Amino acid sequence: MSQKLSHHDHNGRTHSKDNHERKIACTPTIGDYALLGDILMERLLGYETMPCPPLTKRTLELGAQNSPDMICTPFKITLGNHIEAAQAGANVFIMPGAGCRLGFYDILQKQILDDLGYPNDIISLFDYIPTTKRLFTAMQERNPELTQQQFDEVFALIIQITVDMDGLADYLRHNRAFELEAGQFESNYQAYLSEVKLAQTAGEAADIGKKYDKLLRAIPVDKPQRPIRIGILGEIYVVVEPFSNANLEQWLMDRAVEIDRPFDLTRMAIGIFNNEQQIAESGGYVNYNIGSTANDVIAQTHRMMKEGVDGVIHIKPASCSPEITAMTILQNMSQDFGIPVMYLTFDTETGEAGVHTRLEAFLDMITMKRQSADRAA
Amino acid sequence: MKKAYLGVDIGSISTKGVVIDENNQVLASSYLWTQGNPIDAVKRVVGELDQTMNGAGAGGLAGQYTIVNSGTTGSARKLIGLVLGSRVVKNEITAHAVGTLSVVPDVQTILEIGGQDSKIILINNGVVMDYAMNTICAAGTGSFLSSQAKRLDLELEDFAALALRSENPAKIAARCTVFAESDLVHKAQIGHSKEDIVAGLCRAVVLNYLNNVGKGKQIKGPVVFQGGMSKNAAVVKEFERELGLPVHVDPHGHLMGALGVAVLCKNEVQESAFDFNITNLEFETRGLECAGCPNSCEMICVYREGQLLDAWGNKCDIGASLTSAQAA
Repeated sequence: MSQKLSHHDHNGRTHSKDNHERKIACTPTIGDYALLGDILMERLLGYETMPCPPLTKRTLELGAQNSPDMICTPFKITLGNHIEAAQAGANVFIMPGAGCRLGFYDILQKQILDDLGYPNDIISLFDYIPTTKRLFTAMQERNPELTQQQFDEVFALIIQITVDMDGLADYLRHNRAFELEAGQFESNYQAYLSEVKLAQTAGEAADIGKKYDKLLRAIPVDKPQRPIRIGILGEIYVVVEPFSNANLEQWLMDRAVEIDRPFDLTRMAIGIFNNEQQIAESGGYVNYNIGSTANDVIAQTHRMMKEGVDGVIHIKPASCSPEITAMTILQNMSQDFGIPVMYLTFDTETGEAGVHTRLEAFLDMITMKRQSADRAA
Repeated sequence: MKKAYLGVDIGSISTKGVVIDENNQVLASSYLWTQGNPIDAVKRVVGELDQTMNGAGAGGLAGQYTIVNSGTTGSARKLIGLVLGSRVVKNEITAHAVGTLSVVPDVQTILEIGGQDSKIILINNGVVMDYAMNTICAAGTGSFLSSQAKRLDLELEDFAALALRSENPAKIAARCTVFAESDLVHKAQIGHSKEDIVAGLCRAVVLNYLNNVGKGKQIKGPVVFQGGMSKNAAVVKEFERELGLPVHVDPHGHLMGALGVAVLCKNEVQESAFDFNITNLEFETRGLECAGCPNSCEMICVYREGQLLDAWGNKCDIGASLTSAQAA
């Protein structure tokens, strides 16, 4: 629809001069979270929204080609998202802000999109300080008629959906590997996402969440007493976006593995306020704030190891400094608990064979270890 | 007819095959260069094994055994697993650990440096406890040393003897191939002798391995060193010095991956007989790029006697329909 209104010039750039006022917003693909961006844009600003073009090799190429070489991978992929969306007619883009270097993504991406000649408005949602002030201001600048009450209602809806979808997905990761009829969890979860997208209030969203929670829990599973359980954590983007991590959760779940993956948007949002608590829960492995999610990576790994997880997979994009800090501490923890940790780094390469070789070896190892422990017991 | 098991390890540089009996004893083995053509290499390996297993002359076992299961490992394991009709297709790490344990049951650390890969496997009481593998970079592997040998106009076989003559190895940056190479040129130009430079390179390989692959791992004896690099006595000596432990190199170390899958085949409940006749069959692979979306998946179709056996590389069903169209 938007393509009708735009035309490509001889450089392949898209211009929409003929309809300058028309705002079309596109949220980059980050797991299933784009629907939250769509709700913000539609309900608070009255913008049209466009689904982000699917992540492909071309997205990576466009992103890498137009990014500084040494920047972290999520920057490159989301920039690729913006460019492909701009070519399809989008002119408003959303970035979460806060965190580590993530907090500066929007500024640099705007510059790059300007240089490439794509009309754009990038909205950065959050500040380093844990309030919604920046989000409210950003929305009000673009829609002067927006009231605090309207904002609060939509924000409550966003929070409700985030907490519910993360809760459902967490249940899915613990159980999907053992479903009796393949595809039931995924189809129910997808049905939840399309239904909750239409919820008008937090109350409505909560009802939909409860309905699907029941449906998910009613799916028959054949889960052994002690299935092989693997913890997955690390940098949030590569953790939640399967395209960026060779879809490793799926690969493991297809092989009857229960996944404990504590990192999602809910945890990130709460985590920003909770560095002190994470340090306290780290079992003495961290004594001061080491930045971004690294504190929580340590605290959560400590929890999983105490609970007797079979193995932990730590993943990060190339050059992610907070996670590099966490790795050295995880090595100590791995030795103290005698639980293996595998480290994987993802960049814009697309070969999955190497990742699958390592995953298979890791799974073989922890399975054989478990069998030998069971024989000894 | 006695039972036997075939394991094949198809690496980037070499292809190895072994046949074992029910007591893990090696009945036949073969070791050849892959030369960029894994299907051809495996046919040659199987041909050699056939001679030993079924040959009537000296050393031939005259068909006393029948191979009841076959398995593959190494980077071409999927392709060759299909060609051989193998029941076991295993990653190199598991295969090496299982193979080595069948020969050295009390091994605690396996160091392995191959053509492109290097890995470390830590074992406790016969169970793999931890492993690590080089990630994106091939620095410090066999291909690095062979390219430096070329630069110095040396045969790789002469490398170790020359290095062992050095009394003062040159310091060569171990972190990265590019830095190591410019370091090497620099040392040569300022007058270091060839043996010192070669010895420095061997040490760089060891330091690179311990700093990258072995980082943070507790290396305990018995230590077994495998892969093509273990044939280099100077590298072995550097490992012993750095670790302060004796490092065992088995003359059959290069066969451990193949041996490992053969042992795994033996543990399989189901049998699927192997036929030496595959050397007479025509196998062909065709690459194609799916144009269904901008992912442009690179797909491989494998044919036996002109019939499509299998295809892979596609991420979605669009690619699958493409291959079924090819099969029609």
